Amino acid sequence: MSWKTIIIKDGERVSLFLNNFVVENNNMKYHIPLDDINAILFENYKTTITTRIINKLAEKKILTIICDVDFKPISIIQPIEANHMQLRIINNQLEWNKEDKLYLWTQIVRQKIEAQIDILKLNLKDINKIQLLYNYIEELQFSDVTNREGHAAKVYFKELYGHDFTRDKENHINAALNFGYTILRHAFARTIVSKGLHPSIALFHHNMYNAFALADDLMEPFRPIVDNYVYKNVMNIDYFSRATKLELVNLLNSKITFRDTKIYLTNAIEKYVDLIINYFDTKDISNLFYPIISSVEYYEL
Amino acid sequence: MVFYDLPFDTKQNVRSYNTFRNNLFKEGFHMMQYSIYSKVCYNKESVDFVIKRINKFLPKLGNVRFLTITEKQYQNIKVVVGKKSNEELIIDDRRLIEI
Repeated sequence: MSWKTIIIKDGERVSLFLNNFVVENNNMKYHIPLDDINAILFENYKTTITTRIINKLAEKKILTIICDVDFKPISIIQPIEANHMQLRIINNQLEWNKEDKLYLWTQIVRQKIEAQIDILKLNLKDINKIQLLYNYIEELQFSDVTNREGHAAKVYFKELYGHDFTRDKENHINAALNFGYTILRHAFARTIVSKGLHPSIALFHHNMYNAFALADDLMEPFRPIVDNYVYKNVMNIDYFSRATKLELVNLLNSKITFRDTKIYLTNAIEKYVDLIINYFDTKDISNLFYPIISSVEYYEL
Repeated sequence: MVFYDLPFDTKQNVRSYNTFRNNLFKEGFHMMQYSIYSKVCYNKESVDFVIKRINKFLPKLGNVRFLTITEKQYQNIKVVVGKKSNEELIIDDRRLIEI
């Protein structure tokens, strides 16, 4: 049912009234039905939030992201009990077989590189580099022990954003990429938690400081959606503006082809996580589908 | 859109009016004018779903009616006297809102 994305830019106070999300601003009150809301981004660091609405947002599994003074997304709101079969699902997750996990991870890496090829093709990039990425897919080994993912990413980023580009430099492209990835990552974390899974118990990522390792694993094939947007719209300007930021949040509203139908990205993420759970139940990889990254249609603001 | 006229003569009736109105708010309706409430739904299924839910908390007495119109028809409303409330300007079928 939920479809609205709300950005709190000037809202001074946020509260709950009869299942409605109430934003007060300059003595004006706006009511928005909670059931309609898919995501909320708090940008104004002076907004007051009541505890009632915090709990309600968690309960309704609304993706709530709160930004810091410098507009970087820092915290999200998540419920303690997200699913009525919580314990059973987490127990299942703990018992996921290591072989199965790594097999899935290999598939995800393959899919990620294919999505990267998709984006390079879409933007008419050098055919030799595309061939190189195809070679990496060929060479891909179980659990990606030879780190083809890293090599592919290096070639891909250099080809897409120019030869001097690296991911660790501080510039507007990286700022935009990081922001876009964060939105996507939290969207995944929300969906994962709402399915009853634990976001820290992952397939491959196992940094002990990473609370959302599973989100990081699963989102890999979706990253090129952000890359492509940044390539088309941020490359030609020389700073990271607020308008770009809104557009990146708005990526959640873009439409994408998933199993031959066009659906919104947030719904695609949910279906994809369902298929992952289904894979662990059935051990059948042929039932796992990925969205077609080049089919993204951006939603006009 | 939901239109209603409800009796106000007894305490009992006032109470059932209040419950009905609060339930409309909980369902996500907002007041366009007195006794006229509206809600934006994004497809036919969600309209049917909402109507089904309203049917569960209807008051016993009075006069209540539903009307389903498209967003385009709704935007064509001509306001002759007065103006649209600020809330109405924000609530439409856009998927991204800034407040």
